[in-house]
Amino acid sequence: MAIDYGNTPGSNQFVSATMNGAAWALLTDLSDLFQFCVDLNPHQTGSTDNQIGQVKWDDAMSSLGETDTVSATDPTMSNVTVSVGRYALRRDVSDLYSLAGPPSGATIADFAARMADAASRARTAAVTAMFGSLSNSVTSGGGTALDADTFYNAMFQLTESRVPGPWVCVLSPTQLVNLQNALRSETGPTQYVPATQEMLRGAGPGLAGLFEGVQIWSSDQVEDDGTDATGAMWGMGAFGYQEMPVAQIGALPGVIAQSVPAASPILVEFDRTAADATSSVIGSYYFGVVEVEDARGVGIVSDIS
Amino acid sequence: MSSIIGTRIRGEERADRPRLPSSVTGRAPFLYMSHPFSWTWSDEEGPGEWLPRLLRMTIQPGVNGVRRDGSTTPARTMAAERGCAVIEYNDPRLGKWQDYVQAFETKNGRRVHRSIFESVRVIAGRVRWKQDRSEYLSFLRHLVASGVIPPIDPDVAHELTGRERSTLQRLKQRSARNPADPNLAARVEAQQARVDAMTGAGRPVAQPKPRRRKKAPKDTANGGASFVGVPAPPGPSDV
Repeated sequence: MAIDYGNTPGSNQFVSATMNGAAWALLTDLSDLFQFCVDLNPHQTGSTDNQIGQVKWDDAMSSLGETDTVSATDPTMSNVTVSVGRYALRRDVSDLYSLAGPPSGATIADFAARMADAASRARTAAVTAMFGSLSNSVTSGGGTALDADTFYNAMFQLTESRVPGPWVCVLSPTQLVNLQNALRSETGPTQYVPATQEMLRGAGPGLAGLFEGVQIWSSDQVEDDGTDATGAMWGMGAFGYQEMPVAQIGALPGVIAQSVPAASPILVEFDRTAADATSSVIGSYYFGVVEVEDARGVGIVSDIS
Repeated sequence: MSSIIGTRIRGEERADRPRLPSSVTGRAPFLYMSHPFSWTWSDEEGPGEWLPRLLRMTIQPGVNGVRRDGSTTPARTMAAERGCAVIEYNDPRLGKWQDYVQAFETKNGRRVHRSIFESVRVIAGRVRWKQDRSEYLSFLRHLVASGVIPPIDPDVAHELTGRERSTLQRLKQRSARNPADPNLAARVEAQQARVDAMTGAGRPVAQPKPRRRKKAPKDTANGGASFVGVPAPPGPSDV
């Protein structure tokens, strides 16, 4: 009689399944849009609300008579307010989970290390949430897929508004696919531009390509209303952010934190509840985003169905 | 002796109520806003009409001036300076569309705020959101008809129409260079019909019919204040 895989009752030498040594990371879009926002930086000013003063330097000198008295001209001034909010994520890990030997990639240390990704997701969501408040927008028509003309219309809008480059465009994945599809059927000069061919290459989340000098990114955090998604194209200065460095919190007595670099905005702490036999990993991040100048951005509204 | 009355637990309060999968990311509540320049030409129902394109103020601490306690005061101030007008949840003029935000819950406790015009289906673990487009368009028309949003300014309509005409111009130029491209020809035709409808319609949404014809006022200095039709942009001859 052969020894086989557990057919003999009472002599099964195998467990039903084992945990692989390494965990597989599932698909996640970790595009970080803070790189296209201006660091407004004044932290620790005594308030969580910070007014950013704005001045428009558009006054030209005017001609006067030889002895005329020149009158004072005030520059156009305004301000926007950045409010810093608290963002956090907590993971609870039972002792049994740790003792049983979790796979590499899903240990308590990994949960701590991945807090930076969670912060990245939070701030990208905060930036994409502002797309819907841009007063300028272009659309291919309600319930109509994004086409190349609409993309150009967004560029023309920024040109009309005198927005300096570089420009970046962030679209939902479906908007990006529709744009690529539209470029496939482009005729005339556009079809021969190398960037057109480049845009048609498969690309994962994040940077999809460069088209007509505009960096095109896709993010699954671009918001939609069930019919249309609202992406955006903007030049630097449209959006800004502030984040608070947390090193001094990490230095407080009683805080069991990972080593926090001096300028790090993300604090990762461990907490222990002995009665529950549970360890917690808590990541904290304090930041705020603001639409600094409405005219520097344009929403791109198109169908996602 | 007063009796103690229990509260009947209804569908959305039941412990076993269906929730969205944990993979769905949360979304903060929002307020709709209007902006004088934020209009779109909609030809989804009928020949076409100008409808407001609603902006959103996301009510999430740290986003665009929303304070850590959820106060929207700085956010509202900034929005007003940009020319936006907030549409309050409890504006009585909204009628049945008051409280236009609904919240869904995920299995891990996140809240996903969406408009009341959206519904969700989970098919094999995949989440599909769908907007009741017809209801949403009715809502947009109602916003104008009820005075929540003033009708489109004629100059704004003129400007937005001009952009569509520029698009038509470009399409025609490309079509002239590629006369054998049927796809391009079809787009020219569709865009031409769109521009024709815009220039021909010339009437903002939900304007009440005048009961009697009034003599036109002599003073037209403030002619844009009350209008029945949007003045048509220069004719299609230069398109």
